[in-house]
Amino acid sequence: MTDEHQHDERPVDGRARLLRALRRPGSGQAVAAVLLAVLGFAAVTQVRSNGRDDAYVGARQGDLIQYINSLDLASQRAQTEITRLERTREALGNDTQARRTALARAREQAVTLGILAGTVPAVGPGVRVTVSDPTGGVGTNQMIDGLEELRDAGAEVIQIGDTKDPNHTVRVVAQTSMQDTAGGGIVVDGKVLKAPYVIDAIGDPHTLATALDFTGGFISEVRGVGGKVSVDELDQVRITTVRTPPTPDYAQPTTSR
Amino acid sequence: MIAAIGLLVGVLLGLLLQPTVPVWLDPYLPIAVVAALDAVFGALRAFLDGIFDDKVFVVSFVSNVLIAALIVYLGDKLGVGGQLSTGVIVVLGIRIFSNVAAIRRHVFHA
Amino acid sequence: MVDDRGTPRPGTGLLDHLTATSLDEDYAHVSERRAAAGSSSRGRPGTAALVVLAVFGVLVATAALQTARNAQQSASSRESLVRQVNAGNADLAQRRTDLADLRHEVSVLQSQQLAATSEGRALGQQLDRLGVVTGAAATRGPGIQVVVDDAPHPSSDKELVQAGDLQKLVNGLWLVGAEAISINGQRLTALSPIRDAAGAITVNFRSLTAPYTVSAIGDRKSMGARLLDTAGGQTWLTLESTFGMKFDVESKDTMVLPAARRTSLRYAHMPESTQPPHRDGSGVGGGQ
Repeated sequence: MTDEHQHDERPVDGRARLLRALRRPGSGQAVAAVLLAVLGFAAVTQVRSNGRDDAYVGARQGDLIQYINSLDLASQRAQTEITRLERTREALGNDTQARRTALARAREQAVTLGILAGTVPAVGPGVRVTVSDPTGGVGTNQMIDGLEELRDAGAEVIQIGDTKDPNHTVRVVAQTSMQDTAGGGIVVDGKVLKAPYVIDAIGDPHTLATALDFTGGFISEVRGVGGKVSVDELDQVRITTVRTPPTPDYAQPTTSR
Repeated sequence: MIAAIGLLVGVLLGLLLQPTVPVWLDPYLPIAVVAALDAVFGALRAFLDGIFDDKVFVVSFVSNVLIAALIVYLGDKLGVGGQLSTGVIVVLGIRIFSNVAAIRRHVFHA
Repeated sequence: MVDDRGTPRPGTGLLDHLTATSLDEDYAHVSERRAAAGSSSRGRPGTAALVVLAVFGVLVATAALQTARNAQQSASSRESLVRQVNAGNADLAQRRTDLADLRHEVSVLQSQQLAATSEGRALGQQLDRLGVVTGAAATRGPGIQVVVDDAPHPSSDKELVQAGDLQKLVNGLWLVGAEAISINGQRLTALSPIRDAAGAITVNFRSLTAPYTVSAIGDRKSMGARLLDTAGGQTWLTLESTFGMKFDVESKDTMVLPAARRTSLRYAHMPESTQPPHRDGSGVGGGQ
């Protein structure tokens, strides 16, 4: 170690030099200090400006433009709905019309909910999906997937049936559940269905058909377990199976009349 | 010095006239500037070394700019425009640094 | 490393070569030639050099101006785009709030009007019943709440909750008698898909993030135990024990499940009518 109190002795190693510089700053250090200060300021400014508030820093202009367009579209749709409801509100507020309007609306809603609940038959464009299962490999895994894919593609009403027995059809609703059985076949809402299965769905025929057909989708899954799927796009699908929904024991509307 | 005045005149002309650059030329402008910068610093170093020559300067300037632009243009056509222009900038940058270091030695005896 | 003429000897690097040859050799050559030819000029810039320097000046100025112009343009156009996006988001949010308020108002008015006639009252009750069962109306009741989540330090997709896992769970819940189900506030209806999309699970076409709270109204005493006997329950017990994914079942005295947002039909209609039912996504009876 060098003795720092002897001014004429130059420190030999780097660490000693550093210590000496720290204890006795020279004019050279002042210049270095100024330059380092400038560097530090610039660095901080740069880092700050990089991390600034712009939430869309990564997005390219094309993406931003697309996003703006989709926002506009959603806003427009919301606005149309608002205008429509405002007219309805007016009609409901107008004494002479109010009752009639309310009844008409309620009747329409009852039809819609009736179709959704499966209490009334329904018709419309759609697809008929026939699933053959010679090896018995098709089970709830594939069928649940297929159901979700149909719903994802906008299927509004679905019915699953058994080609062997026309009485064996099930109207699919929100509460529809499936189970595998030991003896082949699938139990849907308590009914045993055996292959070949027929699934009727109302919606846009082409969208429904394409939704089942992508890589890893229903059709390829069924093929993977040894079955086969054929899809027919139809102008009219008639779903006639109805059900009586059980009265809920536990669930109640939040508003009671 | 007259040379510096010449440079200044050029800069002023550029700022005053504000020529609009045609769109197809726009991507080559930065590369052209760097290539020209390399030629200018080379000339300055040559001048300080005492071996400056007019013709060599003109030729080096023009050829640097044209070749740099040509390489980038070729790169764009081949689809590797970005990479080639990076390479050109790297080489030119090293040369500029090296020339400036030599100039610095002349000027500051540092 | 290099010889007199700057030619690299084998084994020297590119950088060394570049540094050594950075000054055009031509200067040296021409200067030698001039010295050999006896001319004494010490290398002063002539008119040609001045012209070139002026051109250089113009080039630099033009490039600088052009860059400044471009930067201004792109910065301002990007800024304006970001501003538009923010404005669009705010606008949409405002409209959606207005829409929700309007829907509520209309449904209250409708209830009042229906209560005035006997047909109206019957319809109202029917809508209530159907609303609970279809998911169109906000629903209240006891039941169980199942919370599932990804593994704590997932190292692969298998340790993340997948749509298929949620589908099986929901299937199991319906099987043991659930009357109404919602996932993270999304009410399940006959139209509700549960899908994987872009790394997130979407229900009712809305992106959800883990953890997933699946609320099922039903018999709170027995559903939980019977769920574990279903294929869905078994799947989740396995996921829990194998990957440490969360699978908590809790019984609840009361839960409120919101109404589904979309209950309108575009393609399906009843056989005797020639028109699809009125597009009415406003929900029934106080629901949102």
